[in-house]
Amino acid sequence: MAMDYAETLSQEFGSFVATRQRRPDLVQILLPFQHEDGDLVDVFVEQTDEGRPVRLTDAGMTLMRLSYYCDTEAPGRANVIERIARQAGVDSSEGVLTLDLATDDLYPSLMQFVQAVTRVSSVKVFRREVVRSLFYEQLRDFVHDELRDLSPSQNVVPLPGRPELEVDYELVLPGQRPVYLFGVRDQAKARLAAVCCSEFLRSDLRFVSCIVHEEFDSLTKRDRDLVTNLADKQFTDLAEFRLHGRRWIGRCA
Amino acid sequence: MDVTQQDLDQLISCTKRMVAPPRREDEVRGGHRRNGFVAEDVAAGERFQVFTRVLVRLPENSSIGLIHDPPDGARLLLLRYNGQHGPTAPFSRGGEWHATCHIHRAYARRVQHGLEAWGDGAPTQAWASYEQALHAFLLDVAVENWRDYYGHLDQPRLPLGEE
Repeated sequence: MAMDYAETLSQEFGSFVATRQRRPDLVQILLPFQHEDGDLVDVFVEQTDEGRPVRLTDAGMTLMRLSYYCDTEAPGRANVIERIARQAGVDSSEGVLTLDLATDDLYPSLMQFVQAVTRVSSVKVFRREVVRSLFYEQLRDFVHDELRDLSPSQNVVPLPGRPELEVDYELVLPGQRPVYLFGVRDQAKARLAAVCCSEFLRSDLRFVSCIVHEEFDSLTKRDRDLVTNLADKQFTDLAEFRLHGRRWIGRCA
Repeated sequence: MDVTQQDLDQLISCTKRMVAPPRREDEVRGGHRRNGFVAEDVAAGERFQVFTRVLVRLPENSSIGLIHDPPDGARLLLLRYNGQHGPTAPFSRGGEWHATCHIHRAYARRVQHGLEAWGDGAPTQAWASYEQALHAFLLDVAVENWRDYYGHLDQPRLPLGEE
């Protein structure tokens, strides 16, 4: 006899749903949807004093989980998150995803909300795996393609006997100080670039330093202060360097 | 990625020293309280980041994590001590609620297969509050100077009932 899928699913779904009263006005809905680490997707129903459901919310859990991996409030990432949430039909405000219930049909809104949470949660994968792998490659391509008349040299060691103080690119304009260019996408590289600049200054090298960040705001304040106080010029992201880098090099070096 | 479980366990348990301390007060951003610090392996110089997160609306939803932060930027989340935010096992028929504090740990076999490093959380009874979890965490990941900034967690026992 053919299986009645609709009937089967209708009956089974009820077995895999549970609730938990977390606060007087907040009920957690437990559904068989999990993150990669096994933790359930966080969905809550806000309800009125009479117990009527009015809104679905994640109580801020989605962005809190994302914050383990990245700064969710850095301008670029914050915009991506808000756009993804908006495209999925939910609101994102002050770190909390919400969906107001327009009708008494909880189920379709619930599915829409869960889908939105999983899509926003996947931002960490996209940003981390794809964008991270492109920054240094994109910088390299720009330097070699658009700045080739500046005779770029890669991985230059200006101080003999100090191989740890390596410059990503040396750019040369005839008769002018060389530009030492560093690409910085994380804290470690920011500190290395700062150490290099500091040591080059102590050694009275003749140069101009320039740092191109993947995302300046992703650094801690302490690290932003460190590089700002040592570097001659910084570009807050690659797009700015592409727009204004050549003109600055021509003016200052 | 070529890594063994021994490598990951060593990164978790090696003695560390805080080199960039936490803020005096947690910062409230995006609906949660956050703080953290940077530590270094005292022997090998490996760098780590520790984060703490507590959801403002539901403080029992908390997470304390250890991230390995190597120079090449290939960061890896090694360990998370979580509060009682909900079931941690695959959801089973009947929907029985069991909220427990639990630990997510990185597994080499997952890293080797290109998956996220950690799997299902393992329930623990080693702590029952965020402060207890933080205390246990600092000891388990061997931060040798934790008392300099988290001394309030190291409460001495009163000699009550002792002869």
